[in-house]
This record gives sequence, C-alpha cells and structure tokens, in this order.
Amino acid sequence: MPGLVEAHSHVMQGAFWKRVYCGYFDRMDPEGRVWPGLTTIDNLLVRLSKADREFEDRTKPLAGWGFDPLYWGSERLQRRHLDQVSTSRPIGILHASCHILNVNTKTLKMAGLLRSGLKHPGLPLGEDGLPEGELRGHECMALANRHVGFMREELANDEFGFRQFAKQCVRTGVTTATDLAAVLPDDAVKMMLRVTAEQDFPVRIAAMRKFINLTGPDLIRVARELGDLSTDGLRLGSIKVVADGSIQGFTARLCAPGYFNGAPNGIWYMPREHIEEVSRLALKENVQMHVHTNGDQATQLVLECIQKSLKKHAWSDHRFTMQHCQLASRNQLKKMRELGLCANLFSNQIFFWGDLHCKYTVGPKRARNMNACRSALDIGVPTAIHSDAPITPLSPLFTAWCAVNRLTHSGQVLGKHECITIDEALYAITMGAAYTLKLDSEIGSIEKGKRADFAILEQDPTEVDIKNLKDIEVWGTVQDGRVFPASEQ
Amino acid sequence: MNQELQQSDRIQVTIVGGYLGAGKTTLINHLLRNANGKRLAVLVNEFGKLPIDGDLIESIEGEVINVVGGCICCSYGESMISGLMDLTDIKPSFDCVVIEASGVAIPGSIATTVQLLDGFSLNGIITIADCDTLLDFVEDPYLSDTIKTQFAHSDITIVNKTDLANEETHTAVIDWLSQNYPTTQLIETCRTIVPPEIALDLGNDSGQRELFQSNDSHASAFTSTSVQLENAMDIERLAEALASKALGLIRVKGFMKSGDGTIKSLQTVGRRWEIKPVQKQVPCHMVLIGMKSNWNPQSLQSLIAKFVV
Ligand SMILES: [Zn+2]
Repeated sequence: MPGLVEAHSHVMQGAFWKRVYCGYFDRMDPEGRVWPGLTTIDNLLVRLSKADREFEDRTKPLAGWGFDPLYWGSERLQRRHLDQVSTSRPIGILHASCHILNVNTKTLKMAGLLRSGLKHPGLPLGEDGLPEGELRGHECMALANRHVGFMREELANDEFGFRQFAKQCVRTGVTTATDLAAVLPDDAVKMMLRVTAEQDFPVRIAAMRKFINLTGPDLIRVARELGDLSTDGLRLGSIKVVADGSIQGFTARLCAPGYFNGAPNGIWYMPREHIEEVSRLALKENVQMHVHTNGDQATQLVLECIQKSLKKHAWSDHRFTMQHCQLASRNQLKKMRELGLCANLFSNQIFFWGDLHCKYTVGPKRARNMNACRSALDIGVPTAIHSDAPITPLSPLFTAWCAVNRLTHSGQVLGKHECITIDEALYAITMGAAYTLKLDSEIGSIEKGKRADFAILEQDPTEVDIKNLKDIEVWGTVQDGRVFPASEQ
Repeated sequence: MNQELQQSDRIQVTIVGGYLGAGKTTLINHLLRNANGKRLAVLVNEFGKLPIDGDLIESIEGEVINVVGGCICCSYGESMISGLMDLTDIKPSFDCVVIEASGVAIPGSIATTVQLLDGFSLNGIITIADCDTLLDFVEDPYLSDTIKTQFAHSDITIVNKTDLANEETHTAVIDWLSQNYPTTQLIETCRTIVPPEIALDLGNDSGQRELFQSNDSHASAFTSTSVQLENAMDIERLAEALASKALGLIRVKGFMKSGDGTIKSLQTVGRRWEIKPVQKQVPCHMVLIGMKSNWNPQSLQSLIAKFVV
C-alpha cells in the first residue's frame, strides 16, 4: 500500500530509546527488539538495575521513559525505590504523559530539593517532611530535568536519536513523519538537513517550528526563512501553536460542565491575542499553521481567532490543522469545515486513556464522543489520525485499529457511533495525513507522478479481521524508490 | 546549587503578572531605570518581545539584552524555572530578578515554584490591572477564571490607567478588587509609575535614602518613613501588626535585634511578611512605605515602640 504518513509525532521518540523503556505495554525499539511491559515496581527496579550495571560511567544519569503507573493500582513509585538502583548517580523516570518525573534521592539533592519546609502542589512529601521524589508538572520537572538528561534542547539536536526514529519509521511502514513541535535551533536544522540528504536515510520529515521564545511576527519571519531551506527529505516552513494543555493532565480548557471529577478548568498556554495575531500573519504570509487544542473550549477559541483572521486575509488553501482537538463537537467540526480547517485526531488516546477519561476527566458521555472520526468524515472535514509519539507508540496501523474499533485498554467499546471503516482509517493514515501536511500531491497514494513511497505489509489490511489490523507485520518500506527492509534496520 | 544558602544571599524574585496591555512592560522599564545601582535581571515570558526601551540597551548578545547599569533582560529559554537556574551561572550575581509572567500565566503558581528553588526567595507578587478593561475580562467566558486566579495571590495589585477609565468604571474596579481580594494591597496609577521600592528590595544597609520622586501625581502620592531601632523587638508580633490591613502599609523592610540578641531582617509586602536570620552586622533600622493620604509617622513610631521587648 502507499507509504504510511504519521502527521503528528515528535522525533525525540528516537532519543528516548537511549533511555530505559519503563512502560506498561510491550513496545518495540528501533532495532526490532520488543521490551516487555512493566507491571510492578519490582519489575521496574530489576530492569533499571540491569541498565545501571551495564552503564559504566557512574556519574552519568540513568533515565527512563514511558512509565505508566495508572494501570498499577495504588502502588506508587518513590525515591526510596529508585535508591535501591543507585544512590550515587541521578535517576529520572519520565511518565508516559511527559507531565510527571520520578527521581531518586541523588537527583533531589542535585536539584536542591532535599529539604524540609517545601510546599508545592506538584511535590508530594513523605512522612519525614521531605519530597517523595515525584515531580508533577513542567515547572517542578524543570528543577530536575537538566540533572537526568531530559532537556528539550539536548533532545532536539540528538543525531543518534534522529536516526533511531527513522529506523522505527521503517519498522512501522512510515515513509513520511513529522516533528510537530520543534524549536529548530540552527545546529539542529543543519544536522537534520545533512542526515535526511543521505543516500540511505529512509524517511521524509516535516518539522514545524513551535511558537515559543519569540514574538508572533518573528515566528512568521523565522518560518519563512526555514521554508527556504526545505529539501526533499526535510520539509520546513510551517508552524505549531499550543493553545491549552492535556486532558489527562487536567490542563486542557474545557467548556461547561468542565472536568468530570470536579477539577478546576485547565490552563491557557498563550493569550488569545497572540493566537489571533499569529494566525492573521500566517494567512497573510502563506505560512501553514498547526494548532494544538485538546479541550473543546480551546478549540472554540481558536476557531473564533481563525475566523476573525480569515476575514482580514483570505487564503483559499490554508489547510490550518487542529491537532488533537479531541473533544471537538459536531458544531465545531462543521465550523472547521466551513473555515477550511483540517482535523488531526488523537485516536490512540481511546485505547491508552479511554477508561481514565470515562472515570475521571470528562465522564462516559463525553468520552464516547472523543476523537470523533465518524462525525468529522460525515461532516466533510479533511481528517488524519495520529500517535503523538513518544506519548503513545509510533505505528499508524495501530492508530487505524484504534479508530476502527475504539476499544479501550479494559476492552470496552468507547462510542461505537464514532467508529470508522478500515478503508477510511487507511485513507486517514495515508492521504488524510498527507493532506494536512500539504504533501498530498506528492505522497499518500499510489499514482502516476507521485513519489514511490510504499509500506510493504505481510497481509492485506483490507482482508484481515478488523480486530487484527494492529497485528499486521510490516516487512519494510520503499521510500522514494529505495528499498528498506525492516530486518536490515 | 547543592548547599543551602544563607537567607540574605538569596536572589530576591518579584513576579509581575496581569493580562496583555495592563502595563507590565512599562513597569519593567521603570524599574530598570530606577534600580538604584542594584543588579537586576528581567526574565520575560515565552511570547513577549524583549520589552526594553531603546535608550536603556547597552548591547544585545543573542537572547540577552545588557541594560545600562549592569542589569540584563532575557527570555525564559526552555522554561521559566530553567531560565532562573541559568541566572545563577552569571557572575557577579544579581540582587533582584523580575519575572514578567505571560498574560495567561498564574503568578501565584509561579511563586510557589520559585520558592522551591535554592538560591532564590520570593520578594512579592505584583499584579497589574488595566482599570478600563479589567471588568470586561472578568466577564469573558474564556478568561474569567484565569483573571480571577491571577489576582488571588497578589500581594500588591496595581490598578493602572485610571485616567482612561470613567469614574463609574473606576469605582466598580476598586470595589470588585477590594471585595474579592480583601488581603491584596491596592495601588492606583496612570502609567505604572510607582516607587521602585514597591517592587524591588532596594534597601541598602544604611537604609537612609529618599524615596523615588517624580512629577507624576500618582508617584508623589507615596511616602516613606525611616525608623531607627536600638532595642530588641518582638519581631513576629511587630510583623503581624505592620502587615495588617488596617495600617495599609505597602512595604516594610528593616533589620532589628530579636529577643535572643540575634539580628533578623523583616520584610512585609502588602499583607504578607517574612522574617529571616541575618549573618552580617547591619545597622538596625526600618523603612516603611505607604500612601500619603493616610500617613502618620508619629503613630507608626508609637506602634513600633509597643513591640520593644
Ligand atoms: Zn504532540
């Protein structure tokens, strides 16, 4: 079939594999090795201790990622557990959501947090009055990130990680992927340009400049400059704007009645005036914009901003894309169609966090309408689906399985009425995704004049039982006419 | 930084919050112009321009603007917290840091995190309200809860641009703020021209210096008194009294002997107060800042005298 397109991922997924995988679910690394999921603290400590022994430089940090204790019941990871692995080197374990970090005593000391008298909602204290070693929220995590190797800038310019990401693309049939929120410092751009130009680099990367640390007008100028550097292998020039937080972190902005468990509404990541200004300038300067919204209130606000901006600068083919927009209502989807927006829905959430959304975040009624692929297609919104790797695993076939079956981890079907067919899901992970990247004239289907990008599968996805879509083996890819067997990665 | 620092060596952090257009940039430039020889670092939020008036800029090195008088201004970098942590690598170190929060950030939660950082201590939260537009934001369905939370932990709330609002709006804003946030110290201005001592800890060890003066009618509405403190004091009770709402003091900073003979520093900002141990020898005195309209140095003197032990 046509090469698969992952329209919302982050290439730092590759660099994460230099760290220890600590997730609950089995996950395949770029070398093709499957790391079994961890279901108890003891399992976790065994894996970390092994890594500790193998990692000779005793002063270097030991980092883990993908940790997901949501499924563990009441057992909670504390620094005393991680101290069993090492008291001499800093240890940091990042949660799957990327919103919580667990650290050992050494890291707490280095961060200046091994003190009594600290008071912070993101820093639970033990009976001794000292932090237990869990750091919740980005501000708290920022105190320790640099000691355990989770600095964003470091991750952005990690050539080894970039290559690992590409290997993973081959294993999952992906021939074009995205780095959806990159800061793109000069040296990282140079590295990505060089590596993607190599004869045997197997994937095309579209990298969007994140709106951070510069003003709206500067962002548009930078995006245009980056656009001029675009090559076949590295597509630059579009931007990413983040409006709110995440639903499972209770930081997404929800319309009434708000969070199911009564938590206060989430937080805005930027003032609406900035979103308005940058959307207006983007339309004027023909820079494509991707907007992260999770909550329905954030989606509504962004729609209003873009509607206003479109009145000032019409651009018939802007294809601004709402990223995640997990709670978008039918009315909002109609508005998106009217304004010419695309939706890239986060179908993987249904499996990984669907049960949690029913119980705590939005309740069963709204959870059944989350990531409403059926509605989006019926209304006529150009639709893609995504993994947001490393938040959930990179694998468009798995994502398609999620959109087709809408099964949660506990096995319940979450909103049968929003299921789509296999054909529709396969379209979403090829042409649908390519359309949101404005690459549909080059990739996404097997047609004369298009690039020779193929995903080579061991079974025909249109002939398997819908329950087995995610289990189809990938032989490898052909990318731009070059053959890449997964077994040789 | 692994070791606990002496309290007095910590960098004082002031957080300036408020929605877009409230006047944060004006306040920051005003503080840079009147930093009184102190080394001041300004951290601006992730979407802001580096908001420095041209004549103040000495040089620009990448993301950092060097400002006249040894001050700098830079953006958050990876995050506000890592921006602050990076400041500790710069020598000589800074005396004060002003954090300009983004229009939708919650100053109170920034403050909570700043208090986790070794090497820094919180000097106060100042939230600015645009008198003319505040109540529109309070009624805005997208912003209402954000705006309300912004004021919730404010030590000093500056009601700015009072000249642009009509009388009715002006009264309504003052009423709304004082009813909903009874513990916040309110200050009214036109162009956020306030004595810098209100936002920054500019006290030098002798403490004897004139309060910032300006022709601006609002700035001249402030006044201060300096008091010598020879005797040991019951510092906690004194702090409570000085921070009481009835007294309406904006800021107090002083050094004094406590009952056990050690020297302590006392600082109040609005209704909040803090007492810290002081290691070095400093003259014992106190500076109090308030509004001219209800200023009575004699009664302050006799109030303070009540807490001599
Ligand atoms: Zn993402």
